[in-house]
Amino acid sequence: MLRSTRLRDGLRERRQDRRQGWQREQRDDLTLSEARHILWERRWLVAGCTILFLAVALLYVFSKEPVYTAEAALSVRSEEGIAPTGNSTEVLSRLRDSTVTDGLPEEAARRAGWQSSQSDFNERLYWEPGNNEEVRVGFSARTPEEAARAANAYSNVLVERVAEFEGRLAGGTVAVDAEVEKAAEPPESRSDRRVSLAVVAAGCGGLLVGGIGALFLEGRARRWSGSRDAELTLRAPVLGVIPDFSNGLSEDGGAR
Amino acid sequence: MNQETDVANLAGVRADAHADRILSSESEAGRAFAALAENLRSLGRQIRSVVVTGPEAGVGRTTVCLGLGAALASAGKKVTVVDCNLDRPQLHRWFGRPNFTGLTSALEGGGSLDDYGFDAAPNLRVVPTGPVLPGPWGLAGSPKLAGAVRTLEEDRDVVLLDAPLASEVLADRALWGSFDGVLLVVHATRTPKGVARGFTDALLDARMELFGVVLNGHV
Repeated sequence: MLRSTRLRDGLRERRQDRRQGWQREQRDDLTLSEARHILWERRWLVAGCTILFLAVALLYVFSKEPVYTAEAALSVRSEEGIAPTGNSTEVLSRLRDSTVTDGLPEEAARRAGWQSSQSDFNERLYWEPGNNEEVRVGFSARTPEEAARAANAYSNVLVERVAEFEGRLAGGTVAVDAEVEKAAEPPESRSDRRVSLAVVAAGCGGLLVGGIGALFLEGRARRWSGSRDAELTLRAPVLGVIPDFSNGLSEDGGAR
Repeated sequence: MNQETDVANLAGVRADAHADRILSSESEAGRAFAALAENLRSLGRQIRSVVVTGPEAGVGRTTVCLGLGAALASAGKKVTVVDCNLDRPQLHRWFGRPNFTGLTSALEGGGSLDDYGFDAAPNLRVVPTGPVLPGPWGLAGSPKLAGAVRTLEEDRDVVLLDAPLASEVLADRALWGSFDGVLLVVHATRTPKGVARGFTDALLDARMELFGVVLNGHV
């Protein structure tokens, strides 16, 4: 009997080396098939969260005042010729600081027929360097026409002012010449980029929250749909599925 | 006398109709247990002692032990089911038997476990816990249990241990890990998935030989 016991102990030790693949695998991380299974089991929760987030995002986007942005392109050249790459920023900053731009927004607002306050006009206006000598003048308004009108008014006033000052900035060190290269046109629709961004962000947020919720609820779920559910959840083979046959029987006579 | 008749004859001493359903190979449950027995055999290794445990009470460890035992017995294997739940003896109730002798008697008095059990069906012997003494693990948790089961393995083809909860099995892994392997029973409508996963991981982390899972009470 002692020999037999030793033999069995030896077998049990060797058994440790025969652990099968599923027994040896790293079990801390969530596998793709497991995540897919959980998301599928809770697909209505995930879909519901995504739809809710999308609905809130779209409601927010469309409830806000519509914004149309029109842009005009100006070319700003130094006296020596086309400003080299990177210099348009410098020229732009000099223009901003010079007397050329004194009262410019007010004049532009007047020409554009702007009805609201001047500060509102200034907030909606921007101009920034583009490629090389190009400067982009943009304006955001409630209607496409208003946006284009204001952007063009500002561009035209700027070009006129530069011409009035004979292309010479207040500092007298840099001479510039400006002209409208491309007039602003009324945009066709509201800012699609913002809507797209909101939709993508809401979609991702909904999927994330729904996914986390699915993981949370799945861990607490007590209903197993079958052997595949059990195998994917436990990552262990299901050797048997025993049907419920305890109808009408007491707990004592039933499962323990 | 065929096996079905034998089972029917034994029904008279069984108080609980539940056992009939489990022990009958013609029932839906019987077929499910036969499939479980076949899957266990198909693991391709010699299995002599199986620890049947569960993550929480009420998952059906005793049901699985008896059903699997009956299925293996029907296939010609000599099977013994041992009730190791000293904190809540249950197996004897299934057959309307007193719990005067059983596992504790064998561990205390010596002798084979089989001597303290009774036949539930041909080839299927059941050993209840026996009288439960204060400090239940004083006996069952000792190496005596492992020795008694190994002695029993000499005469029986398979010994099924109706073990305590998985938390207790993990707490005494030296004892329960000394048997051939573990079957984890989860209940299809009661066991939280997270809890079952936690115990599955813990059993594997403890390097216990987990044969697989039995999904009980599937609707």
